[in-house]
Amino acid sequence: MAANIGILKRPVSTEGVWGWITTVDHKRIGILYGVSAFIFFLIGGIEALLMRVQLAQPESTFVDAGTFNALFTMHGTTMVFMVVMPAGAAFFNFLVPLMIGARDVAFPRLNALSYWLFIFGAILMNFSFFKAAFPDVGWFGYAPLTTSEYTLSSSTDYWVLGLQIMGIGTTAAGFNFVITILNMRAPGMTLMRMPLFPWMTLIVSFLIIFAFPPLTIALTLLLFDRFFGTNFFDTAGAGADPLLWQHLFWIFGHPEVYILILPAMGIVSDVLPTFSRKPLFGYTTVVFAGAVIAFLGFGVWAHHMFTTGLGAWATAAFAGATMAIGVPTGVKVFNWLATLWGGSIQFKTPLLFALGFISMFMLGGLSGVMHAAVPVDTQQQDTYFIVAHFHYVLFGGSIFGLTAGIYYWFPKMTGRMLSERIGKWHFWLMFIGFNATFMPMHILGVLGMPRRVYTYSIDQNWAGLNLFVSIGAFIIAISIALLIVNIVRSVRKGEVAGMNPWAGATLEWAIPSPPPHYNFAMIPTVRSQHPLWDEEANAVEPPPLPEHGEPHMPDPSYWPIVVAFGITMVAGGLLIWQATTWVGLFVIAVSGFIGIRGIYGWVFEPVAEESAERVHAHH
Amino acid sequence: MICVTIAPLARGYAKHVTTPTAHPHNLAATLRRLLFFALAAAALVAVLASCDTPLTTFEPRSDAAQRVHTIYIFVIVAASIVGFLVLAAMAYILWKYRERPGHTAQQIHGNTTLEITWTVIPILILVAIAIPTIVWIAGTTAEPDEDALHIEAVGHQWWFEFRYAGLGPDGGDLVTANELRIPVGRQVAITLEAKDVIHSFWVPQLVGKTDMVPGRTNILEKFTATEIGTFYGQCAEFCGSAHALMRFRVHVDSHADFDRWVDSMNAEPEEPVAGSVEASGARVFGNFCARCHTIYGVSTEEIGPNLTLFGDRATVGAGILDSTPENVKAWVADIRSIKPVLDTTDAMPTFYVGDPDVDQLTEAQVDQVVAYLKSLKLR
Amino acid sequence: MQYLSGIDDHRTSTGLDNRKMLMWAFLGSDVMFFGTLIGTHLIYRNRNLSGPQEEILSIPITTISTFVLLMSSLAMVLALAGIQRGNMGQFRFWTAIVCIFGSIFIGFQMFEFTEFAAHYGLTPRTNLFGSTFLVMTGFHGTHVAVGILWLWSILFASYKGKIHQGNSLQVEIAGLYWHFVDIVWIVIFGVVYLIGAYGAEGRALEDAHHAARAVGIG
Repeated sequence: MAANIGILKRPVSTEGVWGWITTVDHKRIGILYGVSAFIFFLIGGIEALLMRVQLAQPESTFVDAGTFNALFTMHGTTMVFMVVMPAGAAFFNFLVPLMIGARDVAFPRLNALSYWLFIFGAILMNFSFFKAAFPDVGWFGYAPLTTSEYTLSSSTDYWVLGLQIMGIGTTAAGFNFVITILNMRAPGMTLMRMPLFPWMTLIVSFLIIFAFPPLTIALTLLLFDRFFGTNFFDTAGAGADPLLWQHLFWIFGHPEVYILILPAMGIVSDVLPTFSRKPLFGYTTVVFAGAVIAFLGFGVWAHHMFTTGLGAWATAAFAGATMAIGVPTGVKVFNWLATLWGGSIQFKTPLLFALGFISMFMLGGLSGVMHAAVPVDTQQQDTYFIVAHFHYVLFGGSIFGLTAGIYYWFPKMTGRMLSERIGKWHFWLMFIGFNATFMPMHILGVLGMPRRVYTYSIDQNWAGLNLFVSIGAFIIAISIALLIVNIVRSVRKGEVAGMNPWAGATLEWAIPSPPPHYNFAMIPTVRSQHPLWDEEANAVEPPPLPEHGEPHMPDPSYWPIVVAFGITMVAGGLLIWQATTWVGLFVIAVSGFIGIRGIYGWVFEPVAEESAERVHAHH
Repeated sequence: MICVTIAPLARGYAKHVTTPTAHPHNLAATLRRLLFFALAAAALVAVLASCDTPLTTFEPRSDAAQRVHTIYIFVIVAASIVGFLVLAAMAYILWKYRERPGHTAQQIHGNTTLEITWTVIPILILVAIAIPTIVWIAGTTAEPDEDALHIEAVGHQWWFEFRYAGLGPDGGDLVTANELRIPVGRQVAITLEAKDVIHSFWVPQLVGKTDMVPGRTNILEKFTATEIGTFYGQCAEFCGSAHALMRFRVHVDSHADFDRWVDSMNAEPEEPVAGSVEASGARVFGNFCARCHTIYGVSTEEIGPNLTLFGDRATVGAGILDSTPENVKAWVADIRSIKPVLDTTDAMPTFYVGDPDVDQLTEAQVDQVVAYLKSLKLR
Repeated sequence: MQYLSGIDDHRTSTGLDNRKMLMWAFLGSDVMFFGTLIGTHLIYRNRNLSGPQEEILSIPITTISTFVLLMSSLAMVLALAGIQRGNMGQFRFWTAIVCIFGSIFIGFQMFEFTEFAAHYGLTPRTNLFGSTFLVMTGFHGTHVAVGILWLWSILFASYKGKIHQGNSLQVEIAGLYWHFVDIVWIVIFGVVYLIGAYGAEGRALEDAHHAARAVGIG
């Protein structure tokens, strides 16, 4: 049956490095996402620490202006696109099929392609460090600063192309999870019986599908300006409007904020019931609040542009919409608190992080309401107040939520428990370090310290607070070191977890830890929102399995990585083309061929070998 | 008052770590340093809000800044009350419903009345914040006063140009750079433009920020300064390598002082005494600096900042250095040692670094031109 | 919870095939893609500092190419009907027609682009109109070209027996894509060509009135 695959024989082994490279198993892809995201988290964290060393004292010469600008550009880009998004994807991948009672995602090979595009795009962007310099135009790359007239180095090209490739991968993942969740649920699991995490994944996937095209277009237009001399952002020569970039970027960028926070909200909504020993309060409300947030998220982008001169009434409309989005967000917070109300609260590490999420995210939301008030925003925009605000949302929110997820599901992923003792140290250090770092930034913002400055003078009197902030940043670093110690130690020596160590109610706890590659030996049927608690509240064991054979799963494939490589090297060819035209064209032609050949190979490769006909007939 | 003691401490600390000899060589020094960190950390957080921070948004000195400040305080109070109440509720719940022997969870699924209540309450709070916001936005659309002073501010990489309509030579614009002078008690109507990339005009004590966007003319909120003094401004939109060093000052003068400044700007500068250092400097200026800089009555190019009455400016380099002769000299000789300026066609050249291949001027010539520039004073 | 009897279950929750749903999701995303491109074009209307703009668009010629593309959609419907009834001859004939009509449309577009370049000097570098119009219609043309390549591949595969009545879904999905690309063109034709050229004419008339008034004959 392998006759039509061409030069590459279909991989058969799932062992070793090749097993990981050719894997189409959602759990392995999830682990790949998670490990990659964690490595980039360390890189982005080091970038942050270097910035904090520079800013710890006035008129410091630790790094120069260009380096500092590169540091904050890469810190932002890394944390958004290479950490929080792939960390979310790690959880989507590992858990969504388990939680909805499926054996895999809808398109296992497309899933692998998403991962390889993400990692290749991220590597391409970081490769700029060796070729030119890190990109230094800010993570939102405002035109016309990013046009070739004002950015002389090619680092911006790496930024554009790297983002573009990661964006394609992300969009593909968005399709995959929309269809997985709509179409692959276990019998009886209606949408309104799904746990909150798959729900938020579904909403995030819709956001990705609709929010990424504007970014793709914006990046394409900028790319064409830089490579082919089009005029989209040429203000002086062609009369272009620089605000076009800002509109396109934020039409993507604001839904992106919810792409970053909703997965964490989903995690917290599933962690709270487990450790309060009672169901989520107002399930329907929490689900719809998430959907309303996502929907409104498309109508508030211009609140990033209050100071750009939009005109009074556009400004007023966007201010109103922005305040409106505070309502469903507030409702979620109240429902979480009501979930704790009347419970029997077990203060395990996942719950601590979930509580950290609720409190810190709420503070971030409140400071967000402050700059929805436009007059206040004219004093806060582009100051450290904004930096404080979005770190409360994205660190206090997303990172705390994702860390709750790590502690909650690590036993499911590895079969072993993380240490509770180290976990609690980790939580308290991170909580204290986080507040020490970001709370004083509010004051710095009130005192007028602008964002993205590599230096400030002594007479500004910001030195003391900045020093304090920098110390806080290093406390966070120590807490992350504890997490690493905890993971490394527990993977080998942690307490054996068993099927359902937290007595959770959802389907992922009804199978062994770590799950077999087919997840569910028998597909479960579902009658409620908390299938394991059906017979008895807070039950631990699922019903015993009847006799069963081994389910058939998709085989590994080379084509996803081949296609991703082809696409990435077309971008590489474009970069070479800037320097040496014919070499670039040659690389583009060869890698374009590889990519297209890969797609054809993929299309004519059956999902699973021996039983190709059966799969065929099914589809 | 504590601030007075803290500021020198911070300054001393900065010196301490930047001086190579002061690096800690032994454990004691390291410990001293750690102790310093700890003490500084504890002390500074408590006191810094009371410090003299010239970019503070909390000491408004104009009608516009005062209006914003009132709303600012209102939203801070509202948000703080909500935040405190929710955190307190959370702490209470966590304590009351902690797991303990003999206590089991109640299997509650929801409560519609409660949920409607906590949907409506945020709506009411947000409406309370929205109303002053909308009123304020409506206020910004008002026409400027009859006697308002009209100024056009233009952002350049990395300095500010200010053009006073109709106050200049022959009824044209009066142009100055990096130090804006306005009269107290008179409304100022500023329009904003940019030459290259996006910048943002911001003087926290006088007026909130509005971006300077190339190809657009934005209108800054009109404001009337209520106090004579000097206020700090800063570019608030990332605009490239030297963004951090794109600052400016606003001098709020009495009406008489402002008028005297306008007259002085328009008057022909005094010829330096023949044979003086300043006279030599004037020649250097004419041969080199005049290619880009205007001094009314001397030169007309507008590529770089207008330098008329430079001797009266408090700062050099777009508000970043005190205008001492040493600083001006360092600036003229080697701008790149102070500011990360790109080598574009409009950028100021490096004039003297002691390398014959690079130098366009001798050190003596730099001294002469500095003396000349410092002599351009108000009469 | 209980367990489903049997090991493998391949029913989907909605009853829709995964791949068909994927195409719908992709098209939803593509709406944003073209929406952004068309929006950019509209935002930049009448901002040109120099060079040709909407007045050079030819409504008669584009009406013909639009008609050809519309007819290709009809052919697509007939091709799908053919394979669903197991009539491979009908399927192959009409699929070939779709590809040929699509290619004619691309031909018109290439003619238009070269004509604009030769007569008006319009390239993507000329002015804002050149950038927005050519990039927008260029991306649409690329979509059409991908569709042609896809349908050729299906036609080719049908001769090797890999496409047959049993998997006519493959054709249905390609057909969804083709109809979508067609609809996008109708929007571009309406918003960019008809309204644009009409607006340009209106402006020309207004200019003529002003000129007439200026010389005292209006």
